Amino acid sequence: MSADNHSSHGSYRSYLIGFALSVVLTIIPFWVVLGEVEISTAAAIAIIFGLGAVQIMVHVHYFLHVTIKAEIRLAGDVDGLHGNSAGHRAVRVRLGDDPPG
Amino acid sequence: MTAQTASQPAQGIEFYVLEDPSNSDHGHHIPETGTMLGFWIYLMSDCLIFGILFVIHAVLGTSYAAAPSPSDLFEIEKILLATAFLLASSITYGFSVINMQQGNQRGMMGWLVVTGLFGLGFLVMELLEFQHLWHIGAGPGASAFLSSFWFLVGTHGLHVTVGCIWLVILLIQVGQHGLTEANKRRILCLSLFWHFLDLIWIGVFSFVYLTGVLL
Repeated sequence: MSADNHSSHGSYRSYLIGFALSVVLTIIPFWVVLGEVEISTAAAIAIIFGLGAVQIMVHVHYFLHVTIKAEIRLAGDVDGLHGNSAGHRAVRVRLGDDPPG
Repeated sequence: MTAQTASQPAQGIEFYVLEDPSNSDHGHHIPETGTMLGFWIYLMSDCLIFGILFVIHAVLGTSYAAAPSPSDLFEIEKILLATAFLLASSITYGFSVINMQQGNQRGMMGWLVVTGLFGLGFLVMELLEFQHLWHIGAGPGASAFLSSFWFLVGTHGLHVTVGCIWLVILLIQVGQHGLTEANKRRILCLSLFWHFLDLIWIGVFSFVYLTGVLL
């Protein structure tokens, strides 16, 4: 299982992609303010908020590893609603770094 | 503290607890899932706190009351440097987790130290800013804007401080006990916490600092 799990923790490559995207998404809004770019205040604020929202999503995806993919796992002995157990399928949304195991 | 200790008899000092005993007799054995879910719930509650603080700042952020306004106070170049520290610390923490997955304790601890140093750099920048503001009379009592600024940024800084303390404690734990399952779980929890704080900071620099100096 640990081999399967590895991808969910991210790799050097995925962290570097997330980092590069974050650097770009950070520098642009700072440049808009520090570089005194010739645009209206409203446009500048729209850029800051837009890129900030994108960067938050980049962090959630590349650093917190939250995906919206449902994960199918065989849970051998889930009892409860369905009574019988064998082969019951548990669906769960992956939340961040799964622990080793 | 009703958690059970490990099933084997005590060998030396064994203080780790099994947090979800119901899993121990199951075949699929995902014992840590409960902790991770619980930690996510904690992070979401923290998210609500920061959400409220952002909303307060949205309401009060332009109530300067003849005290200095953001463009008088904020030095955006320094904020950029602090942001760089925090962003760098996020990726080095990621490298630490990768090393942990590979069972490389030295690599994991090395990257964790680097992460802690970046976090410390961020805190130093923030404390210097707070000190500067305090000395020029822009403390939290000067205006509604400054009250909400100190509250929001201070709460974030407090979180980073706690994260740094937690990080040092984990370094000691791993140094003494190695990469045990319990320690791995703790490292992953701090990982979530750390990345979460970086995420909150995106909101802070976008909203409080960059938007603040434009208005």
